[in-house]
Amino acid sequence: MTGSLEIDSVWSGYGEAMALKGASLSVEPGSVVALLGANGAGKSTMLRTITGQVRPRKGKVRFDGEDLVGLRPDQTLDRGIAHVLEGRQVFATMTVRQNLELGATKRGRAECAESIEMLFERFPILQEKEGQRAGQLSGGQQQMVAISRAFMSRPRLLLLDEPSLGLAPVMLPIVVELVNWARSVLGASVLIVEQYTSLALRVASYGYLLKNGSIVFEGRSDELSAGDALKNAYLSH
Amino acid sequence: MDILIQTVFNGVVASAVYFLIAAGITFVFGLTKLINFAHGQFFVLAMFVAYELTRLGLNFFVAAAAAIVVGALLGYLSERLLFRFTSANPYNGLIVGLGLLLVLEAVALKIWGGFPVRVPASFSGGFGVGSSFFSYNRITVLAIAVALAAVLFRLLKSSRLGQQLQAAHENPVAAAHVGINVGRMVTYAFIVGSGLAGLGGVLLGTLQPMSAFDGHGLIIKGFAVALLGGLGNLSGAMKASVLYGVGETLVASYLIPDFVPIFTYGVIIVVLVFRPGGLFEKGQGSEQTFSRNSIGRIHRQRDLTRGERLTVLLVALACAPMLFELAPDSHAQALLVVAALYAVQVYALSYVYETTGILSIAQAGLMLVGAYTGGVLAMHLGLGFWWALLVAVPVTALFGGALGFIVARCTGHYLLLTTLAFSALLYQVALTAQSLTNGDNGIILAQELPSFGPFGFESLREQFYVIAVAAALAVGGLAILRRTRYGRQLLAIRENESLARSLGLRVGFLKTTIFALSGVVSAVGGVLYLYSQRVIAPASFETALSIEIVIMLVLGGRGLLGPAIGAVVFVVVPELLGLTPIDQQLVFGAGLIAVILLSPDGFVPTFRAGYNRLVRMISRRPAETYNIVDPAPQVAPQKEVV
Repeated sequence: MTGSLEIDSVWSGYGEAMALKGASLSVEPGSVVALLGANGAGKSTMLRTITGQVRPRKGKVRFDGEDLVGLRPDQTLDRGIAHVLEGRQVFATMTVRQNLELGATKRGRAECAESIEMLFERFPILQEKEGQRAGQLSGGQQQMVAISRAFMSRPRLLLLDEPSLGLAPVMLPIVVELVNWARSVLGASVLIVEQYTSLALRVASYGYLLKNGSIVFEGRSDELSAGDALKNAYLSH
Repeated sequence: MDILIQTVFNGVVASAVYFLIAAGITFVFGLTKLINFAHGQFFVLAMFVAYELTRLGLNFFVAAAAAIVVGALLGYLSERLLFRFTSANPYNGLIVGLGLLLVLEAVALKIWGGFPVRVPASFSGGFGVGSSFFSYNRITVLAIAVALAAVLFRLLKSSRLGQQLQAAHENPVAAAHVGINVGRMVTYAFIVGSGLAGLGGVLLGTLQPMSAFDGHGLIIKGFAVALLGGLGNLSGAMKASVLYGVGETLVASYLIPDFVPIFTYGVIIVVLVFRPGGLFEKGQGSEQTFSRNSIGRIHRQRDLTRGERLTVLLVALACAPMLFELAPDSHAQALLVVAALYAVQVYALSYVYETTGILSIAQAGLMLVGAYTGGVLAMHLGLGFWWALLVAVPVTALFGGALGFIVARCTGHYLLLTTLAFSALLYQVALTAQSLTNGDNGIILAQELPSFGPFGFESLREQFYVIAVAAALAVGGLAILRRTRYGRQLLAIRENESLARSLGLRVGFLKTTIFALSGVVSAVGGVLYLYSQRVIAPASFETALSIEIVIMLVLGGRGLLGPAIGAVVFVVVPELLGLTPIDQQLVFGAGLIAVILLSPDGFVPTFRAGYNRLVRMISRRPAETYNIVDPAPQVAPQKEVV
C-alpha cells in the first residue's frame, strides 16, 4: 500500500514570518491522521507546504519516498496528493458536473466518467444537482462538491482543510460519510486539519497537536481526547 | 433610410473588428488581471506583416494566417520575457506594457515610417441595394469574425482546455489544486488573445488605411469595448462591440466625425462612473482592487535621520542652480526650463500618488486646463499673467476635483483607464472647440511678461529660477501635506481603503479634494508653461505626455526628490545622447521596462537603499529587521485599591 507522507522539521511561511518552525509529522499508508491546533498555529500552512502552494524554507517533505519540495500544486496532484482547500473553493459559475470533471484534469475520460458514476450512485444528491451552478448550492453541498472533486483525481493521499468550517450541523455526518467512503474506495491515506477537534478525532486514528508552528504533542486519538494536551494548546499561551 | 442601412451595416462590420481586439484584451485580463497596453501594437505589427506579404503577391488568406501567427508570437514572447515577471503586481505589468507600446511603436515607425498603408481587400466588388453598397470584403470580414466568435465560444464552453482556462480565470488557487498548470494557462491566454489581435489587425487593415501610430487609439477603443462588456467577460465583449461599433458609426455619419474620439472617451468615463462592472453585469466592477495601489516593491526603508535629510535638502537646493549655471549653451538652458516645467507637473501628480497611491494618467489634461485657461483669457480678453493665475487655479482645481470624483468610483485598471480617457477627452475638446481655443493652430501669447519683484520672466535664467521656485514650493507643500491630519487620512486610504472607510473616513471626499489640490499645482505649472513657451497647442498636451509624466515619476521614484530627478533625466539625457525622436522613444520604452523589471522603485529609493547598505557596512550595525508588533496590549499595573 502506498500513500505515506513524511514531513521532517519543516520551516515554512510567508515572507519573513514563519508559520511552521521545525514541525515534523508522518502519515502511514492507509491511515487517517488529524492535525489539530488553535487559530494561527500553522495548520493550513502545513497543507499548503505539502502541496507546493508555499515553498518551505528548510526541511523535507517526502511522499512515498519522493521529495516534493519545489513542486507546484498541479505537480503534487500528479504525484497523488489531492488538497481540499479551506472554505469550499468550488468554481462557482460552473456546474457541479463541470467542477467534478475539472477534478479529473489529469485523468482519462473513461476514468472520469467511471468516478462520476460511482459518486452519483453513492451520493444521489450530487446527481440531482449536477446541472446547477456550484455557487448556488448550500455550504454543505459545496463542501461535498469540493471533496468529490478531490476524489475525482483518484489520490493516494487526501488533505482536508477544515471541512467542517461554516457547515450546518446536519451536514456534518454526510461530509464525514463522504470522506470515509472516498478513503475506502481509493485506499488512500487522509490528513485532516480541524479546529473542531472532537469531529477530527472521531475520524482519525492518530493526531498531532500544532502550536505556534511546532508539534507539541502527538498520540493516538484516544490519548489525545483523554489528556490535557488539547485543552492546554487551545487555552494557554 | 438608405444611409441608415449603410451606416448600420458599416457599424456592424466595425464591431466585428472591435470584438477581436476587445476579446483579446478580455482574454488576457481574465487570467492575469493585466491590461496589456501593447496589445494595440500587436494589432498594428500583424497588419504590417500581412501588408508586406500581400505585396509579395501572396493570397489574402495566407497573409491573414500569418498575421495571426505574428500576433500570437508577440503575445507569447511578451508573456515569457516580460509579463511573467510582473504577475505578482499588475501595476508593474501595466507600466511594462506602456514601455512595450513605446518600443514596438518605435520599431514600426523605423521600418514603415508613419505613413498609412492599406491591406488589399479579400474580395473586390460587392453589390448594391438601393443606394446602399455592400462590399464583399466587408461581408468577408464580418463572416470571419462571426465564425471565429462561434468557434471560440464553443471551445471555451465544451473543450477540456476551455474548461481549464475558465477554471483558472475563476479561481486560480483552486484550479492549481485540481491539477491545472495555471502559469501555462496564462501563456495560452496571451497566445490566443494576441492571435485574435493579429487577425483583427489584418481585417481592419482592409477596411481603412492604418499607420504605425494607430496602436494607441486602438488599445483605448478596445478597452472601451472590453470595459462596456465587463472586463473578463467574453460574451459581454461581443454585445458591447456591436453597441459600440454601431454607435460610433452613427456618431460619425450623423454628427461630426471629429466627435468620434470624444464619443469614445465619454463612453468610457460614463460607463465607469455609473456601471463599473460593465453594461451587462450588475453591481460593482470585478473584484479588481489591488491590495496596494503601488508601483514597485512593497517594503520599508529606514527613515533618514534629521541630519541626513538636511544634507539632502541642501544638496538639492544647491544642485538646481548649479545645473543651470553649468549648462553649456542656451539650448541646454532651454531644455532645463522644459525639465523644470515638467517637474512641476510630476509634483502635481505625486500629490495624489504619494498620498493615496493612486496613479493617474491624466496629468497632461490638468496641465492643459491650466495653460488654456491662461491662453483663452489672454486671447479673448487680453488679460495677463496674474489674471491667468487667479482664474486658472480655481478652474483647474475644479477639473481636478471632477477627475477625483470619477476616480473615487473606480479601482485598479478601471481607474487608470478613466484617467487616461479624461486626459484624452480634454485634448479632444481643446482640438474641437475651435472658437474658444483656436483648435489645431493653438494660441500664441502676445501678453506682457510678468515680473516677480526684481525678477522678470524674459531670459531663460529668470524663467528657470521662477519655475524652480514654484517646484520647490510644490515640494514643500507636499512635505507639509504628509504631516497633516488630512495627509495621514489619505495615507490610510493607500494602506487599506476598506479599513479607512470602516473607520469613518470619507474616502470619496478625500480623493476628490486631493485631486483638486493636485489641480492647483497643475494650474500654476500650466500657466508658467504658457508664459515661458509663449505658444500652446493641443498637441503639447497629448495623452502621450500624460504617459511621459508617469514615466518621469517611475524613473525618479517615490519621495520628494524623485520627480525632479525623473524630469531632468527624461528631458536632458536623450538630448545629450543626440538621439532622434524615434530612437528616444525606443530608449525610453526599453528603459521603462528595464527600470520596472530590475529596479522597480525608481532611482531615488534604489539609491537610498544602496546608501543604507553602505551605512550599515561602515557602522557594522546589524541588518534591520522588522518585528511583528505583539498584539497583546501592555497592561498597566493596577493601582491598589485602598
